[in-house]
Amino acid sequence: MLYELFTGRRAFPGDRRDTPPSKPSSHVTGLSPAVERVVLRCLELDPANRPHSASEVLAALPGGDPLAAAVAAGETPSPQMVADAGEVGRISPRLGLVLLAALAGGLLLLAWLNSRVSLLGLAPVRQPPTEMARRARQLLADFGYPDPPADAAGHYYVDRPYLIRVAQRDPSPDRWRHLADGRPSAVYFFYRQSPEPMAATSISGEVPLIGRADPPPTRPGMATVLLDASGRLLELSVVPRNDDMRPRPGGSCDWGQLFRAAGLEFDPKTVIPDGDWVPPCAFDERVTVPGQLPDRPDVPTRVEAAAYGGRPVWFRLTVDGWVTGRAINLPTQFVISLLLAPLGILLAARNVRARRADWHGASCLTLFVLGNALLAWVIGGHHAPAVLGELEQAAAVVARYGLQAALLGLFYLALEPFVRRRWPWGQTAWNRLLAGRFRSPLVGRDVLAGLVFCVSLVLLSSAIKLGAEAVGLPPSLPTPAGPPTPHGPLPP
Amino acid sequence: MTFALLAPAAGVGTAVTTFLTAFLLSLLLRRPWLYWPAFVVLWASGPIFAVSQAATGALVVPIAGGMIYFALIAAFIYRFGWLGNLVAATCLVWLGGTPLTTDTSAWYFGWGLAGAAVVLALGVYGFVTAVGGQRLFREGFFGDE
Repeated sequence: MLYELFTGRRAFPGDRRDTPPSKPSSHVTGLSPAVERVVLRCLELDPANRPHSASEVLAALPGGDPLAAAVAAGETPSPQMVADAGEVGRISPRLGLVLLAALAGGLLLLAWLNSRVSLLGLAPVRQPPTEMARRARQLLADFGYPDPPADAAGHYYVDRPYLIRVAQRDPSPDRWRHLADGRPSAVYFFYRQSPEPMAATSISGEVPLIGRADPPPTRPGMATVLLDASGRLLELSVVPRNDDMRPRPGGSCDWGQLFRAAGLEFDPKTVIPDGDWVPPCAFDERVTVPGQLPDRPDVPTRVEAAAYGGRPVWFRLTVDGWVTGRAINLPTQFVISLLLAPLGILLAARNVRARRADWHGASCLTLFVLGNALLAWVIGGHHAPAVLGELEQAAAVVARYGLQAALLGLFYLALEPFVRRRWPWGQTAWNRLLAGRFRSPLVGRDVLAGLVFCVSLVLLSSAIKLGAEAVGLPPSLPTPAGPPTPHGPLPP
Repeated sequence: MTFALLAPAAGVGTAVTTFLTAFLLSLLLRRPWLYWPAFVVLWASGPIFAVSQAATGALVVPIAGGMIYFALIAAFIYRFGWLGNLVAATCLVWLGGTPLTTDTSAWYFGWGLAGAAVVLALGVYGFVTAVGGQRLFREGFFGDE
């Protein structure tokens, strides 16, 4: 109709509609290019490329921008109006190809740079988790615990507090060189086994994961092993069973086997019987052994070891006053959100009363976060054949992420209408996505731009690190970039 | 792995924080020439307190690097708004948990490849959608008129 209105001709003279109509400006002179664009968009062969509503057509016509009118009048535009406003967002195929090539090239460059700036490059992790778990299990068998466990879990983890401590203390340009030595290092392998299925329920981590104290090591037969990235023993903790009360043939514990497992030299003359510390399990023998690392005699070490019935139940290597595996996990953002929740409730209630709140957007965001967390737990969590344990873990995930998602939804209801009123144009692609318009070119453009921008940022960050090193400044913290940590039950 | 799997949820949190900081500063300071620089300064000063490299006297790199980094983020939020910011934040978290490497013998090479493939697949979706059905090559480019 618009075509006929402006040109006096039918857009498709015959019955065939498989070719685009001729441009209106080829029939009439002086037609506004903006009007021509709207008319041609309405006649796009692919329905997905046509305007989705009358308000979108109106918005695109010269002088017909309802969003601008609403903003000028101080009103809050509806999400639908925001979605219909603004540019189509289509980019030229050439620009699209350039961006896609930049994304692929950037990822390749990042993979290459990672060997120089990422933690995996500086502290190589050569063995897969299954091999490290096998090593831990072999050590336990050597120490007198050969029974196969009913459940086991193991994963690599990064000791970020140690990295921060080095960054604070060591100003030298090669301060990360010792990461490759493995002691002290920033990447460890953590292994736990139990004669019963284990279920973690703590909500302090990202998803419930088997940790040092989760589930609490209270069941007789539970064992924990901490290895460095080279598979050397750093820490051992065993809860003795009743059978372990029987003294092992040979009498006293062979402390030397612990030192061999830790890659340390053992000199019986340096052993101090007893000590000023208490292990977290039953024991009848304990020793303290001061020393130094074999490959770094300048680094003092201290070993605490305890045994029960002739079997080792506790071992800890402390290097230069540094204790392995301390990690502080303060959910600062979460705590701040909780503190701000009353303000969020007031603002959200105000927006709901004024019919400005976007319930659809808030519920989409809330369900997305909760669904993502549950999926991450199902795929990446530790699962054991224990229904009650699984239910407890699922409840822990829902408790942690349910609250987080609810807070997110609350703040969305509270603040989004203000953003929509003040910065509506920055919300167009988001509102189109929420409206289910996944084929909107603007959505695609913003997704592609976001990805290219992200890779560019990571590359820039790597370039800054390398640049600092090149001029002799101390390099900043290594980029995490892994290592991958499968948390499921380990194969036997 | 869970870290990368949770990237969308974590990305939403990061994107909300950066976007709302910019928005709240715009409410407080009103003038774009005031609130965008304030946004950059506020975020760029973060590494100084978080990593506390002051003890090593190496403040130049985190400050200068942070200024450039967050100036780019500010420009990106200004130009592309919420969705672009959300995608970029999610991708940043995702890549932070992806062990990308060119060492094909590394046991985590496959993990890195899979992580990069997810980013590329999303990029291809963005490309196909953003082009909106336009022809990639002129008609007859391949001699098939």
